[in-house]
Amino acid sequence: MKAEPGDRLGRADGRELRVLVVEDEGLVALDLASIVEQFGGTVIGPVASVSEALRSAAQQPPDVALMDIRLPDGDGIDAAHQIRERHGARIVFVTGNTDPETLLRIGKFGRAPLVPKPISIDGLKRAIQRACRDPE
Amino acid sequence: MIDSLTQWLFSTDQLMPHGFCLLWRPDLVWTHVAADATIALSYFTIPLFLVTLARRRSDLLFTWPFYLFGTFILLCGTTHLLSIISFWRPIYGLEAVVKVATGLASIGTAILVWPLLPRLLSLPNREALQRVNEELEQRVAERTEEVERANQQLTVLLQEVHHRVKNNLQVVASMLRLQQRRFADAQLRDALERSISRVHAMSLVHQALYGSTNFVSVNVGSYMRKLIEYVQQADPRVAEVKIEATADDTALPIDQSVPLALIANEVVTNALKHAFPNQRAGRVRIAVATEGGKVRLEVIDNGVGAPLDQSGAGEQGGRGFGMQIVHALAQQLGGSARYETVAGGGAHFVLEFERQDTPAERARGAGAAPVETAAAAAR
Repeated sequence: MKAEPGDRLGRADGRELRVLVVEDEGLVALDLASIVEQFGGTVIGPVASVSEALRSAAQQPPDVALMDIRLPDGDGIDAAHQIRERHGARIVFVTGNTDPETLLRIGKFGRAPLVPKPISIDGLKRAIQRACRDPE
Repeated sequence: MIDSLTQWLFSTDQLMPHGFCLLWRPDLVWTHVAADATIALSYFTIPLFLVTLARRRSDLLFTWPFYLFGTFILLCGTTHLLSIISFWRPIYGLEAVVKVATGLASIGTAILVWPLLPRLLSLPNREALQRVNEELEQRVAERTEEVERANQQLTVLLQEVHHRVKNNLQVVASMLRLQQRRFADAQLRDALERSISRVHAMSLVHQALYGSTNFVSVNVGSYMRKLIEYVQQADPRVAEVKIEATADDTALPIDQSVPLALIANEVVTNALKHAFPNQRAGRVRIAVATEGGKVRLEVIDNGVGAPLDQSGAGEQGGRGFGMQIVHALAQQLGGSARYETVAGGGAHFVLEFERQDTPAERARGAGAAPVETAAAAAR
């Protein structure tokens, strides 16, 4: 699916959207990164663990973080809490885990769209846009 | 010889009936007779008890002592009976013989019984048996716990496997998409897009299994709804088309779920891509039902009528490639697939195949029979 001009992801002030990709499956991370770039965003990472995600967010605060939930060294939702609180980033969860417990936690987290795997390009783009539109 | 023996045993000539010794005093005679009679009666019934016990419980460690005791008690009884008779008829010869026999039986029992003592003493007492029982119960409880724990681990492992497979399929899809981006050619991109869609359809099966309670069978209805969700969000151009699924509670094993998923994906995607051109609105209905062991999948749309056979133009890679896939998978299911003619436009796809048992159902079927026979035998 090619990106249409009106589809580009961008900040309200015209700057490009900075998106941190947190995903431990290498090829999936690459895929996510390339979808973001396809729609005009700037990719930070991809990083593959909670510790790397926190470190990267501290060094280069992102506008949006695409968070995988199951990460090798910790829980993606907890990491997302920290990134959102410390750096004000919007969160989009990307995950294959759609068991009721996880869905409940994501619901409690609040204001963070969920993109289920298998990822659809359009679904991801709309989720990022929705997260950005959300008032702070 | 025989005559003298018979005479010795039974002749009462010149011998005095025993009553004479007691001067025929009724108090003495009748007391003795009454006592002897009671003893004789008892000594005839007690052996009956011993023999009955020995015969009914032939599994006892040894039964010969019971027969031995029974014999000497019986003979004792007989001597007392003869004692009564000899009050009036002095058959002391016969009485002597019976007494000798009784003596032999008694001394035999007295001697033979002693070697039994150590063996009998070594039998576990009730306390010991109870202790052994408790120990066994505890071991059984421990084993059961171990088995349950192992079972739980296996369940978790199985869950993990499905999660892994789903993840791996996602990786395949990502790889295909990365590949897709390297080509500008629309035909190639479309072809790869179709492949990605098929991989996703398979991945959804494993997702359904991962989220299921038994991990071995897929509820087809809920799978179809997930497929619809995915298909709709993957291609927003088809916002004008409503897709709905109606299904009974059919659940299929993995081996049948994956081909069914791929067929459904093929037919539905084709309908979305080709049956509603120019933003035409419409409806696609997926129906799944099982009747009498036969599963039936139907995909009905009210579009312009573009069944797979004729969509060579849209499906890159050759005419009717999609239908080829459908037929191959239908054959794998041991069933048949076709498009039925629809009056008034649209398309009506039908797939029919025999439902297979899941491994659990097969195991239950195999295990059930022996249990039932044993229960029947016990009745």
